[in-house]
Amino acid sequence: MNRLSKIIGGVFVLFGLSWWGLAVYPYLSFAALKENVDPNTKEVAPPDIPGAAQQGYRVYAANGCVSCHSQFVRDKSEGGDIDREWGKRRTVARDYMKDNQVFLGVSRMGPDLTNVGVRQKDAQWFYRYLYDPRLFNPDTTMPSYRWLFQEQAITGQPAQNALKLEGADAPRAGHEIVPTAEAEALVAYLLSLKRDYALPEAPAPQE
Amino acid sequence: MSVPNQTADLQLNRVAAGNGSVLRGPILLFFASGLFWLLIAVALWLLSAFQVMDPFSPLVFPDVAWLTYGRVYPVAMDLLVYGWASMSGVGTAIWILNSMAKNPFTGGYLPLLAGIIWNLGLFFGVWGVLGGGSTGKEWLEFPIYAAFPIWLAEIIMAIWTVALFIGRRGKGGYISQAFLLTAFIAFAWAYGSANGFLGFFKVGGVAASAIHWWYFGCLISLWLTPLGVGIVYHFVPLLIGRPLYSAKLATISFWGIVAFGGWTGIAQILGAPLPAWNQTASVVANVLLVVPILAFATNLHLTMKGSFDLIKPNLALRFLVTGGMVFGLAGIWNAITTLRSVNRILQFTWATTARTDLFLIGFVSLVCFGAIYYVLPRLVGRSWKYTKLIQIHFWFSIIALGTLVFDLTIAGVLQGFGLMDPKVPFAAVVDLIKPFLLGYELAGVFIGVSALLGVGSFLTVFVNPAWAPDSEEAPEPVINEEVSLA
Repeated sequence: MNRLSKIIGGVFVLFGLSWWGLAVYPYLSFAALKENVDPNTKEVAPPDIPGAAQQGYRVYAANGCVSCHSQFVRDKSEGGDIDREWGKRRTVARDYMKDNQVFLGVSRMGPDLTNVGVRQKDAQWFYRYLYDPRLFNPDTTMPSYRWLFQEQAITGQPAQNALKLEGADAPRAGHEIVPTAEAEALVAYLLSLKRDYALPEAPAPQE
Repeated sequence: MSVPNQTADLQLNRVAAGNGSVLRGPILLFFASGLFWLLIAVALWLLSAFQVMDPFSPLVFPDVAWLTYGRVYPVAMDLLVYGWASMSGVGTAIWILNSMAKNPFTGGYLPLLAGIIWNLGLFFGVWGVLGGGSTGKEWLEFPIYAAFPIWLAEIIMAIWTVALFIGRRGKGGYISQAFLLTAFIAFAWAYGSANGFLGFFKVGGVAASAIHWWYFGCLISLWLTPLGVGIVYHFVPLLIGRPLYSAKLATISFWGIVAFGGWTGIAQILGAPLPAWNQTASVVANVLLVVPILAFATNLHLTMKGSFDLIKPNLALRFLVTGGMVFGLAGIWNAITTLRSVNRILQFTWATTARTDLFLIGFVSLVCFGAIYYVLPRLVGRSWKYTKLIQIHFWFSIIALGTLVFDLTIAGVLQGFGLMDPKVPFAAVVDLIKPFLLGYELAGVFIGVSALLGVGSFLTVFVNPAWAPDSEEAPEPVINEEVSLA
């Protein structure tokens, strides 16, 4: 019994330390985060997440986007993220305080998406990219997400968010390709990825 | 922790949990399940490798949601860890703990129950993630309705392990018992804690990422590591008929892994918006972890010294010792690549994938196969006949491992330097590593073949001639009959 209690006691203490330090401590310290209100402009940072984007987290998670895309910008001293213009400053804990799911990621087979909503503001661009990534880069390793879209017959006016496609991708005559609700949610989420506001704890590095 | 002369157990192991034992069923269930999930995992992995190589090949189905890369690859990795490595490791652990406890209490229904629930959890997990229910968190993709059964099975196994240890005959304990006990307790705690925080309480913000990557460190360093190390520490002395070289080194490796293991995970996401001291502590832990790992590798080497000849004829030993040595290499490589100056280049690249693969395919897989080759004939009372098949399996495993790790590491270094240089456009970085994806695909084929060979050997034992437990001849795959084991 002596040995057993020594082993189990030791494991509990040593393992418990890491549990407290890496799981409980960040949980408690980040729970106290408050949004930043600019004293002059009264602007709130980070801004609230638009309702349309809320469903997009689930689509992003379900389809393993994190397998290839990261979502954090490292400090200049830690890597080339800022030089690559993936963000003007490093990301800090407050950037994510309103996210109910966070996808930091460990792979950059595709570009970082921390600020993809700053780089691209057009939903149509995202729809076309998801539908056929080769339209933008013939050598891409990103697969097509055609199943996020559906073909439908045009009745009256063409749908507003119908994809502008040509050549091999073009739909049959009298038909159009429109995003499903999942695609709309995903793109709303991607458009909301904008960490371009200022936070005092993360000033943009001086050139 | 004392390390008594384990040769005395040689005779015991020949009969323990053999024909007619209550534990025969559960151990077989865990082995068979592990190998089944290995086949599924490797098939999906291979598919994902083809998909990432050419996203417009006929193996990519843009209209079929559940076959897209972002769902297939995570399922393959999860099955490799929670299906193959965990289940075959647990099967071996049941055998080891039972034979070491020398205890009439076996509670065979508990491991059997755990095995069934574990399989159910994996089935729900595959169904859930392919069906679009993934949590989107690496190594924790299984939705809560799949994670919960797996956790329940872990709890049952932890209770069984502790009960068996308490009721053991004699006051002594072996180092492998300590490792296995730790593995079961830590895994149940870590898996329950991570899924509880993330899946049940739905913690948001970067606190979720801290918990997530803390868990990854525990999964590797406090579940798979002690499981594999415990297996090696048990079987190697047994197979060469000599005790472990040093009890002191064994103790250092044990307490070192327990002390540093839990801190290792955060180093995967250095530069993330987490407390700076968390990240520093994690880098330090990864470097310090070299001490227990080298203590283990040195101990293994010194135990084997003079008996290395046995590696050639005894294939079970060959798998186990090679796996143990790969673990030593993986530990050193892990420490080097975690250093901030190296990490800033290799982070986010295929080199970090290779680092995890070296551990999983090199260390854990080889050790689990070695253990199966030792245990299975004793379990079913039949000897190995087709040793050639196992020999080919060994070499295919090594070729697969080498191809995978070298290819991805070189690709990762190129990718890393490319990403560091803002003058290189992102698309050019992808072009740079495209040729290496061909090697990745090839490695995937090798891994598939070696998995098939392993499963094939597993099945052949059931048609082999019966083996009498009291005969002088050992039943594990031995090429040269003249070399005696004990």
